[in-house]
Amino acid sequence: MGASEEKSVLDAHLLNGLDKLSVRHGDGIEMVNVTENLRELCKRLNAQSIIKVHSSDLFQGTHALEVNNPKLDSHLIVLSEEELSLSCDCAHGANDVERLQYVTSIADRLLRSVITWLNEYQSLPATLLSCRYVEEFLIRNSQRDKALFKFNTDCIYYDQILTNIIAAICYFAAFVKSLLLRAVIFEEEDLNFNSMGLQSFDIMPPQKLILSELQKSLDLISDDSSPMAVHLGHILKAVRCLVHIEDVLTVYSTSTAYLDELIELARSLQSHTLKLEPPAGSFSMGIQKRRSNQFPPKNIVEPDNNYLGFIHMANSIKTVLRVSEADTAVETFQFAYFFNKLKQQHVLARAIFPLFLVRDNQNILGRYSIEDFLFSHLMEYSLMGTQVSEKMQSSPEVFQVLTPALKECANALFDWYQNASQNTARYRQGYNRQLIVWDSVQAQLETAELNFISAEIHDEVISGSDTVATPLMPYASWVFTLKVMVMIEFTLKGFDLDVYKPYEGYDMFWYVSYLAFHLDSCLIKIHCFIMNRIDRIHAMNKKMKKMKAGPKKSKLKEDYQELMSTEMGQLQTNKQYLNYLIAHTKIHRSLSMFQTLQFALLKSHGVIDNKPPMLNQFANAELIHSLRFKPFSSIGVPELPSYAEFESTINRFVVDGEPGSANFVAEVETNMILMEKESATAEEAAKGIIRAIEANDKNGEMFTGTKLVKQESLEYFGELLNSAHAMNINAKDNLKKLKVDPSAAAKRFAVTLKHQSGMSSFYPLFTVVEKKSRRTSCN
Amino acid sequence: MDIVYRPLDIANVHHFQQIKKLIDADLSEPYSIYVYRYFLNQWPELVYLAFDAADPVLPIGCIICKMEPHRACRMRGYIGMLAVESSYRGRGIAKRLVTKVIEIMQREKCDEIMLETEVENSAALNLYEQFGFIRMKRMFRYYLNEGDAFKLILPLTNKSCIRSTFLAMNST
Repeated sequence: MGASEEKSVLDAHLLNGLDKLSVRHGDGIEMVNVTENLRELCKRLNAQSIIKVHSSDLFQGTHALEVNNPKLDSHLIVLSEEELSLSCDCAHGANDVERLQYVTSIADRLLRSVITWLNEYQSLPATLLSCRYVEEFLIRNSQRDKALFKFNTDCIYYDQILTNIIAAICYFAAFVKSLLLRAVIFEEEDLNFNSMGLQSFDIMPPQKLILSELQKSLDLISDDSSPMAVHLGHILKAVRCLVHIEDVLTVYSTSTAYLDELIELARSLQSHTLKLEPPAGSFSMGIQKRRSNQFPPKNIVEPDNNYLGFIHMANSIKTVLRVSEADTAVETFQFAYFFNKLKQQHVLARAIFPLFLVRDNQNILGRYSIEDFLFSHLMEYSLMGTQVSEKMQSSPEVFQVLTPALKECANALFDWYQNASQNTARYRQGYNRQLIVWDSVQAQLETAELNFISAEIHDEVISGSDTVATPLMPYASWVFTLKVMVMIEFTLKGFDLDVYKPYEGYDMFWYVSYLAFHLDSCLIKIHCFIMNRIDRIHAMNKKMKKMKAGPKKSKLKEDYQELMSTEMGQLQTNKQYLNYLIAHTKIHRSLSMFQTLQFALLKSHGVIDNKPPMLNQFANAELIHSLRFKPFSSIGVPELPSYAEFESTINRFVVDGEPGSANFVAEVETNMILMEKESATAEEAAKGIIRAIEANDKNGEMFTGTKLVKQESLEYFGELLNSAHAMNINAKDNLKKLKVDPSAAAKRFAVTLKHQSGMSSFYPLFTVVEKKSRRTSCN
Repeated sequence: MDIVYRPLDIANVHHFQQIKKLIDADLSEPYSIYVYRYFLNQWPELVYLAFDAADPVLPIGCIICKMEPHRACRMRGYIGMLAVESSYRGRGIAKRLVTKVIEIMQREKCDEIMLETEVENSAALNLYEQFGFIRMKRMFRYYLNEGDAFKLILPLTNKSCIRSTFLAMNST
């Protein structure tokens, strides 16, 4: 590394270090003092010189730590005398009572550290590995073959109970590590597993041994009814529950017994009021100093009385296990759509979900193959009752053309499922990545399905006001539906994450209304096809009744009965599922249209514009718009409207004229009536869905498929309902403020995007606020 | 109070030490000397310093950037660090520093300029958004202080608005 030619400005640390170098002799090796040589070489270096191999671009170095930098050098950590001298080879405490108290205190803090680590996203060295006993256990256990290492203090509390609690917690930590390695959650972002180079996590003893040792420990204190022993017993049982959590993936257990027990134990442990003080020095930053720490030093985190965190963890995992009760593809899909939507589930639950759903043998929930699972999604939406599905059996060769696209489709579907359990920010990015794949799959399927027409396979539909039949394309239509749903979700999620500035609100909401329009058309097309198919089957019955007895009637009867038993039930369910999807899309279409009208109305008053507010020589409104819509720029259908089209739409909604003039006021009132209609439409649709969910899909209106996520889906649609209501009130409040002095509104007011509790974060309120006096602060 | 702006003099160790001090005091991330050297030694022309004209010995503000091809299909500028000594804030120094480097990057044919900033750092967000940067994505627990970050981009050419996949396809 470079230094200046002036000796006086050479880094003092370097000089000191060089001065300390000395010549050593021994074992026939002669060491040479190179201090002066180094000094001379340093003097000759230019400041901009960096000594490196030619191929290095220094980027790797940016991850390096720096010696003698207190923020980066763990070796500079100062440990107290107690931290330095603490021995794990003697039993702390003057008598059994004190020893029990110490061991309980260590175990108690360790267990609470699990929550600090997992629920509060703290690092491993700042939590579990800050315990000297854990560090020693992991070091010494790695030096043994099969038997479990035990402390040797001649005190059962330390040697048996503390050892076993530590072993069990480490066993659980090893399970967590295995989740990280399976790449369903992300290191640092979702979880920290800086093991400080301790290999023991990879060679933990078998679960059976850990559990039997825990049982022995429980037996040892079973006769002791002192509060301290009771507390320790609860800790042992809670740790046993943690050891069992892996069962959900090792044997795909759906039993919630250990999770329920953990919940009860957490409540008890939280309620205990014992004075717990671990031996001085037993928790420290010591491991970061003693071992190879490849990260900046971190202060240890003293956990609160956070036992209730286990309840969140256990309930979250229980939620995920509910997916095993899904009877249909729609229910599985709806589970994934809602379970992690409004509240981010616990990191363990989020990691477990995709692995529990798609198992090691590529089996879905232990029941379906990948192909069957994908096929179920199609049959429960657009494929049932089609000629395509009918002829699939008789002419399988025709359908081989679909195979490559369907394979890609299955991968995209699993990606969708996996994405559902990501953290809230990555969830949106996942959708961004998926868009291209879904678009490509749709194009491939469309091409393949067009070939079916030449093979005399016609699934056509005349929907809405159309006069000519359009091809149904059941495969491509399903992909299109999912793709547009993803596009809407991606766009609206940006509001939830505060990605958009208020000025971008118009473009984003108008685009959602545009997408919802296209989605709605597709849904209506499929709904229409299903209705026609149902009518045709019913017509067979009527026709049959008019026919005279004979072979033709018998054949018709046979066909009718066949269709009634194999198709009709699913067609009716699909129709009702489509009713749900249409209602859901209507909510988005109406609320987003409301927001575009609201924005246009505010723009009419001059309090907001749909362009970046501070254009300078660098910013270009069209480029900024294009960058924002980059994720959609390559989408074939629905094609991204041009910048000019976006501009022309807002001009259609904006009220012309002087704010406050009679014409202006009248037009604003007309717009307000339109907005009220949109919110009423959204409210009605949301209420319809809520009614169906509350009635467990048995009210004959629609099939929501939400039986496994009833509360979550009710909350979601409840928030949308609240938003529809609040947006209306907010629009009136805005207008009231603007009406006071319409000509001065532009100078006086600005617009913010406001999130409110109980309302959908997808639809923040455009709120008129007094402008603040601006003072530029630049850092 | 007059402020003067100068490009980095890589040979001036005092300036280097002061840059470290300014950044260390302000940014949540601890940076090693290697991070500074990575930027300063490879892109010294993209480091600008602000000095108090009355006492122009040590910088009171700095901006550290780089510029390189992104996924082999577009040139991306990157603002790595920006800091102004607390007693000098509120005078538009950061804005001038950002202007200086954007001008250079634009001149050097960058297609876009990217940076990350903490979600909670509304002053930084306001500053960059004044230039037309937009928030492209949010990153969960991005910083060591456990805060989320926004990735911001200022598009300078149309290449910034096309997915890398398609830019790469078009260039082959």
